[in-house]
Amino acid sequence: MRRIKSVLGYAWAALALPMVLATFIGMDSWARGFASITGLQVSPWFTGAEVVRTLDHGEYETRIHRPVFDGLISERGRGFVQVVWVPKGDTLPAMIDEDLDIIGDDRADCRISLDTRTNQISLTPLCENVLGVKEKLVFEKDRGLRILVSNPRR
Amino acid sequence: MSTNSTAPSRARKIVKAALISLPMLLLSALMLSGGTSGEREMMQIIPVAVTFLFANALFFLMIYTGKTDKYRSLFFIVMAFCFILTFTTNLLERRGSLALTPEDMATGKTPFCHIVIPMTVIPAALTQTIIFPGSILGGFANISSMFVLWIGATLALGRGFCSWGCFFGGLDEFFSRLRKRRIIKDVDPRWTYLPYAVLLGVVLTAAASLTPTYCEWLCPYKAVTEFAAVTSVKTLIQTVIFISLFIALVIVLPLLMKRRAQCGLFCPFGAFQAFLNKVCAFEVKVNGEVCKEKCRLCTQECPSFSLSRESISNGGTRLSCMLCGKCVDICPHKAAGYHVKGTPVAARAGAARMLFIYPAYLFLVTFGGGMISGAIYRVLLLATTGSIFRA
Repeated sequence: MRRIKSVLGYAWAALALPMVLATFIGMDSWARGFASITGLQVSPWFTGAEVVRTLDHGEYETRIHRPVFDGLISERGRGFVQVVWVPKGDTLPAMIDEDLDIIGDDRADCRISLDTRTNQISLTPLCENVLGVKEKLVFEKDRGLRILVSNPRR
Repeated sequence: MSTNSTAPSRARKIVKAALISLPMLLLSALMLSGGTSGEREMMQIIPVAVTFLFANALFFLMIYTGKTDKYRSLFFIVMAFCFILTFTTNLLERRGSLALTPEDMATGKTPFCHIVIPMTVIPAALTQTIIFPGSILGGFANISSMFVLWIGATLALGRGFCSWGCFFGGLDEFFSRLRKRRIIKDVDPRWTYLPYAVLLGVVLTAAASLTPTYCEWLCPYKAVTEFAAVTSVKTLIQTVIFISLFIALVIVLPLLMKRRAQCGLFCPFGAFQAFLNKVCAFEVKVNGEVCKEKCRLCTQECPSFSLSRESISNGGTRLSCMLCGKCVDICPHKAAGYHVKGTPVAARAGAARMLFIYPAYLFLVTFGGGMISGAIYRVLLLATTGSIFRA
């Protein structure tokens, strides 16, 4: 038994060098394999979740993301909805005024006025689930907003 | 007479050390060149060549003198400072600022760091998401690559990663080596449980809040890398905490204790990695037949507080050992040594050391070599163009 343990110990120790080599040499393929096997994604609390609806306004698009209420085990009572305005050309119109259904209940939940030059945003809740502005996002061409919402399912 | 006999024996020792170092020379050439033989500009060749020579000179000395920690430490410290320079200039070039904005987080432009890993485990298991604003694949220091690196390092080195791979640990180590005499001589052993408490705290709070709480509130290294832009009272408080912890844990306490205070008394990743020491083939053993437990030099000098009278009487170190090799170097009785688990304690100590330092040093050189050559490249750029940034 002692001899077997000894042989196994040395074998495991001798594998350390190939393991280090394999880690670095195969880094890209290991990383792709890791991503595909685990299926891990970055938390929607950071990414803003996936786009569920796109409204075409001709010179720009309004992209409404899935409401983020994701919790560790069940949904949370409060979350946010990310909305991003994306120009089709180089720039967004100077002013954007929209009534938006952000929760997906087929009625407008809030009215948004966005001055794309000063990045001033005014949000008017049209339902009790909309709580206010969580965060403004100013990208090079796009403008975004994270709207605090309460979970209608809770 | 003695001069005549020592000269050939010294020459033999040099030749022997050179022969043992030769595989490292070849492996490090392969790893540092990235395995490519394509044409490169002189500005890229010089930093890699300097790093290659530096790394191999240190490895040769490690073999020649039989001292591990002394030369590991030098590379490790240089790597940490070069990391700060390379990382910050890269970020400034890519993002234009060290301050992390909501837009950077929304687009996954935050480089992933190994310290986050323990906090991601529970949320990843239950929600299949990583609670960090980085990118899964692609971009600078993406999440998948850092996980792969961590898995490889853990299997090969266990908590040895903290002494042979962590790009932050060298800062702590640098300050712990600056003073000749220590001011704080004894540390209550109960403090060594603090990292486990911090680990438990950040893992639970991160799972509950789905945010990396250690990075948001406690990471001292935010003070020298990237940080949230100060735009509110909350971010101001966070910044004050980061700077205070950096000064206390990375500069002042290591200076006073001559030990790695942040790594040994606070870091939750170190505590997490200590549990994973079990999967690695190597450990440090203290041969009870040789050690008389009188000098207690190793218990006073161990940078990670991993040696105590109790652990020595049990034949080795605590779980938290970082395999740095300091106790092996300083033990006057040669009682401490690297050991392959499952093998007899006194057997083949030299072979165990070689089996460990080859993968460990290769990891250090490959991981840290890019940081060192990157920093040399930036200095060359500054010297030749007047700007540290690429045109």
